[in-house]
Amino acid sequence: MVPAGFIAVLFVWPVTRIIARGLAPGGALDLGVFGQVAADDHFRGVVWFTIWLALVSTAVTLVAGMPAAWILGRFSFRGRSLWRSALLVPFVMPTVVVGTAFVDLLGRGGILGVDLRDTVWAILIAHVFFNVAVVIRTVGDSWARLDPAQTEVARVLGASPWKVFRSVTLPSLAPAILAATAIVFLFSFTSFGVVLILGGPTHSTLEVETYLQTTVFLNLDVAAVLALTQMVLIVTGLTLAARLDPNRRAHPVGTTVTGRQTLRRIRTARQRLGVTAVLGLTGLFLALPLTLLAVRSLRSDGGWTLEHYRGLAEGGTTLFVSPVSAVVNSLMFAVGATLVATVVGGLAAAAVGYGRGAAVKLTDAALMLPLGTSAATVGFGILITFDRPPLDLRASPWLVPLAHALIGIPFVVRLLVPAIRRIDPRLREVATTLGASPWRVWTTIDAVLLRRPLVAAAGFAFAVSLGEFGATSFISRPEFPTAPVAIFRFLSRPGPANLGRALAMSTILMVLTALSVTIIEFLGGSELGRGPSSATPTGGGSPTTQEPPEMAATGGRP
Amino acid sequence: MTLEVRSLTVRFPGPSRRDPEVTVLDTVDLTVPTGRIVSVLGPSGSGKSTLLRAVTGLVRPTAGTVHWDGQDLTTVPPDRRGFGLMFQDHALFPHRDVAANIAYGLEMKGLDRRTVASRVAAMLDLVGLDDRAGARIDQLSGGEQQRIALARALAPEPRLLLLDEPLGALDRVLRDRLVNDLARMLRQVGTTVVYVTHDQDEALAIADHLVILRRGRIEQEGPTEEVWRRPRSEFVGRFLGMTNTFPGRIVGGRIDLGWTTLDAGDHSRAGEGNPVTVMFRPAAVVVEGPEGPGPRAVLRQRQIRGDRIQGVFGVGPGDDVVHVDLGLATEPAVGDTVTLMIDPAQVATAPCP
Repeated sequence: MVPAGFIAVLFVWPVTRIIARGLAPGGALDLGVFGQVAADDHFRGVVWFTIWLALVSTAVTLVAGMPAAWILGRFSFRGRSLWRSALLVPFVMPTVVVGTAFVDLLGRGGILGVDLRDTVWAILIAHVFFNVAVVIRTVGDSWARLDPAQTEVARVLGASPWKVFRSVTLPSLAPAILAATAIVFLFSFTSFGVVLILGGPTHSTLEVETYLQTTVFLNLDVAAVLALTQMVLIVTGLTLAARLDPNRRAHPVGTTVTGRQTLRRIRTARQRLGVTAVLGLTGLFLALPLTLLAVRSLRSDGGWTLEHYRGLAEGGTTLFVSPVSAVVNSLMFAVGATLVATVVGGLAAAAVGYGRGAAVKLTDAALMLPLGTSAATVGFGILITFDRPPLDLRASPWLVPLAHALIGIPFVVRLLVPAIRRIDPRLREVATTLGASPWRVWTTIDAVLLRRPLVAAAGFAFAVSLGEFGATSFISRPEFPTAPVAIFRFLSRPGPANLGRALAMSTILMVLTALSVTIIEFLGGSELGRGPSSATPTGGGSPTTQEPPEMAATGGRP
Repeated sequence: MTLEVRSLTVRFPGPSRRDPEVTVLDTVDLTVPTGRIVSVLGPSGSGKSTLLRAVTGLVRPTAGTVHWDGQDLTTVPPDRRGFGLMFQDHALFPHRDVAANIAYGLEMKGLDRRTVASRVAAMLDLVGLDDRAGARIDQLSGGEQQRIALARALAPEPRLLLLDEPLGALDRVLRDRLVNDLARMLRQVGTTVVYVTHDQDEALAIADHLVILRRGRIEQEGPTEEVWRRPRSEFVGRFLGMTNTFPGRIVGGRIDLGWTTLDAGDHSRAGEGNPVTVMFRPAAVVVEGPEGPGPRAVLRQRQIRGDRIQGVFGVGPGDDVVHVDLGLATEPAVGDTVTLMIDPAQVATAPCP
């Protein structure tokens, strides 16, 4: 009940308000604004550019991720598990941090020596940076679960390696590839911070345009129409993807194995070269921007310095308050959002994980809704909903953590529900026959086994809140800016001092996010198929071959 | 101090609209006196595990009752029945070490720490794993896990111990060794035991009393050796290793198998002229020279079965074959003609269905 109420008030109501405002700005049905937007060349261009950018980003990301997915899915090598975990880092990095890193890397004076600022290339590269991990992990993990005997049989039956890949491997991977495609498309389609920061004035997507119409042109009716258009396009896209899903067919292609060793050692020099090259290049691509961000935040005029960090302590004209207090705000909001998301999401996960039947499935689906909705839509909806009685919360700094919690809840649910379901019911039965009452069964079995996943879920909610920029940019109060909002302010001002502060603050945010991700991977490791809290004691097997495509399920980003 | 199960029936919702209900257990009656080891034997899907779960209270029966010592337990929740349960794959608590697993039931009883510790030590001693008290569950071998699961189930001194395929998850060699250990440990503690398995060797080695379950109904029950010697249906006979089964007819105090006749003895109570199923084990047949009094047979095949050889003999004019235990004999060779001597005392008959 609590989760349902929370989602209803903070999500369903605002979305309803957007629909109402878009279709009936004056109270009665009036498609005037709709027509006006549809007739405008600028807005039509925005729609096409949004679709085009999402399609191209998805295609490039898929191509970029496949080599590493192949290696992750087929080879065992030292550091494989660590490398796989490290992939999560760029995925959860706040968009403003990545935006800052790429502004610095691809802008004038970047070490690459090219100025790609305000070009579509910068956006594309950043999208690949963000999303390539989705492809690598989703497809790679699915690949690792494929039964190698299948390809061996096909080889013995006379198929060439390429033919085997085309006729056996690829069809078996299709569900994972499709899942990854859908997620990457969704992210690219709703990308906000990256486009806003790297796209410059000439590149605007629906998400960015909604923001600009709201905050710059104060044209809320047009913004509502744009947000509505985006929702419709997302629903259409995801429906199409679901229709293509081969899992819907009666007989899924290919068989998978669990717990059995499917990975092979690297044997030949050629394999070693290939693995090293792919892992090296992918690693470099992912590590370089973040590393350079940290390095550059410590440099000025060719020397090492802490002046950018000192600059954060000073007040300035860019913000109403000192930049340090923005970091403090972010941390406080994140703590609040984490508490709310963990409690509400935990209750929801319990309802879904322990229950069964149609109602549970429906609840499960409803809880995922905020995940498929863009951050700008959430922020815009909350902005136009809580601006009047009965709930005028515009002045309340609590709106921000509540919105963050809303965005974090799907992650909490997605991490906890499988953990609950994975607890072997016989453990509870044994406990019962040993004399434990239902309450003691829960406290001595479930609660203990769920401790780690719960901490991991809290870590995820924390990271989500820390980096959230899209929704926050709509509802944050000038006197309570968050760190991402402050970074964006610094970036939009000219001058090396402002860029320096953006770099310094991004580095701080990056370190904080990386810390929460480390918690996720090491404590929630079981969730990703590893560690002693796996509920079946004899369920050994190689750690990486039995995990569900978590990212497909939890996909989403601060 | 007796477990009494009366008319126990369990129905589950069926998989499809055409079968809205599946009857898993059908009016099962079972009595287990104190200290007895009763084995419930049946193929998979016969309702064995459901019977166990209904006795523990983990499954609520659709009809029927479960009594202990005259007290109706049918509505008592499983945690207050004082019964112990051990699962096939052991279901050890992964978040507790070996000692803490064994201690679980004792903690639930609210015993003080010293009592718990000494009882855990005694249990570890019983199962011979004193040195593994602090081990993590995933560090144990399959055999060790099985022993710890037994120790955990026995620790609170349950008045009835229920074992669900306790050796099922282990490989053959380990099973053969552990089945003896298990029988010894169970007799040592003297608990009343219901032991569910699909493996006849296990059941025969451990149980005093055998219950054969088929499609949710009790097909036959009785003292182990009696059931083993006198199966009353072809199903039970085949299940307990009577690989030779033939249709026969009672004619003039003898059983006519077509290719030979056997002394009917008390089997003739099936009635003159009535059809019966005749069953006997390979070990009930002795091979004699080609001029013996028994039916003539030609050896078609010598099969090595573990530590002994089984001969497949063709008998009569048709395709009938008799399996005969040849022990370690090198004779006869394939193609040789012999006569067979079937011990009438080892023959069982069942009325034809």
